[in-house]
Amino acid sequence: MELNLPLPSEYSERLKGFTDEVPVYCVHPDIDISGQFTEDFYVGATKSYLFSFNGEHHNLIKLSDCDAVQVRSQVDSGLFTVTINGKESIFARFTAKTTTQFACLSRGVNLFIKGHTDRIVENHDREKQCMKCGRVLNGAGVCPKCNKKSHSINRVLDICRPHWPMFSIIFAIMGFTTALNLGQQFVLRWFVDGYLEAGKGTLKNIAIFMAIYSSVIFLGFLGQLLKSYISNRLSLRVSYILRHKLTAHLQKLSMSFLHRRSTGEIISRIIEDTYSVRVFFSNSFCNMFHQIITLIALAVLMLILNWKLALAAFVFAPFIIAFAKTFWPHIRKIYHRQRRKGDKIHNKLQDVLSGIRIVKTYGREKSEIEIFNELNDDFASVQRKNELFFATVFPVLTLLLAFGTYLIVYLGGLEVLDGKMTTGELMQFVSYAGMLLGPLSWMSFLPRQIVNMTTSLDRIYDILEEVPQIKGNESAKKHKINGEISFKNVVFGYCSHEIVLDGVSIDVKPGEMIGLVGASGTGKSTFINLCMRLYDVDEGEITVDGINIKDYDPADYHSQIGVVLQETFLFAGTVLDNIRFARPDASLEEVIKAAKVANAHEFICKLSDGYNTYIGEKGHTLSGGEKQRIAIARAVLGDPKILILDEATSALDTENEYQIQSALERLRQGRTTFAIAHRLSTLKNADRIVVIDDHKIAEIGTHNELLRKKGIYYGLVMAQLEMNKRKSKD
Amino acid sequence: MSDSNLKALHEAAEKALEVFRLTPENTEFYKTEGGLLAAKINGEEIPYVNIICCFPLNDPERFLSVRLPDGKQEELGMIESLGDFDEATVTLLKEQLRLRYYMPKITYIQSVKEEYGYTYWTVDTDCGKAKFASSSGSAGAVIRHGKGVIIKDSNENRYLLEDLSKLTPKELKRLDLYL
Repeated sequence: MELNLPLPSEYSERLKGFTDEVPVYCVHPDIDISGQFTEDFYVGATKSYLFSFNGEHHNLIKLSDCDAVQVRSQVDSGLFTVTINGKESIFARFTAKTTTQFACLSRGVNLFIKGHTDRIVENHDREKQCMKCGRVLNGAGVCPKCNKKSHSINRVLDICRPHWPMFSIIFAIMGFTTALNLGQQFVLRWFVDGYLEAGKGTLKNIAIFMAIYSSVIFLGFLGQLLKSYISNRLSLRVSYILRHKLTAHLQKLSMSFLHRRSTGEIISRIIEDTYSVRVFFSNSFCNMFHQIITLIALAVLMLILNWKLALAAFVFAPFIIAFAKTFWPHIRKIYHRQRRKGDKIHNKLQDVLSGIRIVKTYGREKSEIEIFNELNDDFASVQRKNELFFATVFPVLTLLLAFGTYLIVYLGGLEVLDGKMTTGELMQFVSYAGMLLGPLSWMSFLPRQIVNMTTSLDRIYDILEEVPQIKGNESAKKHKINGEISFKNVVFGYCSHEIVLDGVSIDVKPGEMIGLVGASGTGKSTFINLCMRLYDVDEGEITVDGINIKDYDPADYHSQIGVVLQETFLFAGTVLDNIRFARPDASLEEVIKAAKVANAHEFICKLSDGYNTYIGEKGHTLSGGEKQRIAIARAVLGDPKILILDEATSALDTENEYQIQSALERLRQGRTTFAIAHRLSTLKNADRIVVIDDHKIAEIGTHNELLRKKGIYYGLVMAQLEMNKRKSKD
Repeated sequence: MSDSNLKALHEAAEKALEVFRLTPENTEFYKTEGGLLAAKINGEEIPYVNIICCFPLNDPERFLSVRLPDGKQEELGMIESLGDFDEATVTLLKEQLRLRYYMPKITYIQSVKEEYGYTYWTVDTDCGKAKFASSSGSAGAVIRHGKGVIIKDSNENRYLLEDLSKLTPKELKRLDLYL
């Protein structure tokens, strides 16, 4: 992200009147202090001055006079303040658009104030908008307008490219069937003009005509059959590949992307949008070329046969084109609206079904049904309106097209009566005019199908073009981990302007157990998310066995980490499948050993089908403690070198907790372990305890050391003792 | 553990349950030279305070929580209604609320255009003319709110369209897809 935008020349000249220094930072807030949108506001700093220019106004402050600058976050905006002699005042105001730039400006200017004039803050976040045209960049940081690759036509071509042999066969068949369809009318004309007159033709002539005509029809039928078969196969293949690409890509995408999207929305894209692309390829794409070839061939033939009648047939075409063009934007809109309503239904269903227990507990079934019905009615009403639209508009189009045919019968009839045209020729012409109706009317439906498909493609590529933030670099290596982890001055925020961990440094030895303690929202989970490399650090580095975590192959690194969380997630499948999730090739003996370590073997044996008992949705219901022990067995089987325990025992009863504690104790032997626990007694065996407060490491030491220190940890322990004391009194 | 420690813990827990009501009798607000809000509560001067609406969209002039700006942002007290204070204080607090909550109100929709998965808006607002883009694919970009809608742009800025019934037919047509 650019932090030193070019200052307009007028402002540059004015700045030169105060200092010879050039700006090191320059940002362009979109609002002034009163909140009005502005194009003229620039705020920045040289190494000795903080400046702002807004039209005729300017403000220059010597950095040597400042105590500090600060970003004060507000709702959807922020204040950039300067403190001089202990007095803080507003220097600039900005919207969420420039929050990151102001956060960096603030960090940079504070470094200058402290005398670090050689240190310049950089920001590696991607620009959000195209510098050239202002459009929002897609997930890959590419402008969809300026980069031609993102155009729908190119996407369709990309999809088609690997299947060109199948497309060639389809096109060849279509050329063949078109020729047959047109040739059919020549046979008819030859028969009518040559033999269909009293005394002219014989029974033999009729038989020959019948044989030729039916052969042509039969061959055409075979061609259509073959084309339908191949295009269906092709469309199934295309949608299969898209679904595969989407799911594979989703697995690679970072957590930050997945958090931004609802599950319902993603499922809808994988299932419904790929289906709509399939429908397009199966019903429209191949036919489109067939119809175009037929249309061109018909037009040429008709012009050759009788150009005047041909023009009569085409006289309504401009009306039809104008009609279609008028409705095109409307069709786009109504289709988008239908999709949107569909998404809402998906999201609501996902929401209600995930939280069904809460819904039932609070007796809210009726109101949830009402909300769903409202959405459902809404969706049905939009669908009804859309179908009504198509049912009314398109028959009108067909009627317009039919007028051309009536005109031909009238004008052609006159020519036949004048002897300028034979009956056979007129019949051939009327048939061609009728055939013309097919492609024209079919093409009037084409906008609907194309819009439907491009809408889906936009939604599919919105995910496919998102670049995974966590990826192995080219030299990424596979390495057997020992478990030595170092955080070196790590700074991280889920948004770069909101720091969650600030300057965290710690060296952890292999096999050491670190307890992480602190209030909610201080950064404990973020600490382990970084250990697991679910996110990359903004500043500083994390090394594992002396190698930067970014230099590891992500999949190989993750395979050496074991995780037991508070909310255990078990997949639909058997107990065996779930334990083997960590290592699918593990033998049955290894699975049993892992279950024994996890204190899970006993209860698994008591299940009706033992390790083959089906769990998950619609399967055997396990208690929280049982699920937790399966999760531990899963972690044991993976034989991780780094173990993450995030509130692994917080929601369990005493007996369960004892069993799980002992299982965890066995599990953590010889592994570097990070454990988050609010119940501090569970961390008594930790080698060191790290207290995170206000996004920094506030205290670090053994349990006894920290108690002696009488700091935050001491306070937390005392508070828990007090609570326990109260509970026992009650 | 000493008794004084236990007592302090107990008091802190009890205090968290209380709502300390700020009234003209116990609180005085004033603006600092730098344009920020300061307060004197029960005689104690606090050089910078934040004012937070509990219901910013529903009832922005009632239940205003006054907090310290840094660290744990501890609540100093609650203003039950702006109307409890004199006119000058109300003006000052409203000015501070405008600084805290930035959501321009759309007064006219000039154009709405859909391109490459984003909706590009050109609108007039009470803060001047604005151009922004919202995601067309995301269900959360346009949210119904009372009689109107809130539109969230790709930068997470929000714009309020207060009353749909006040839109001209032309504007409604432009907005049609999102309602």
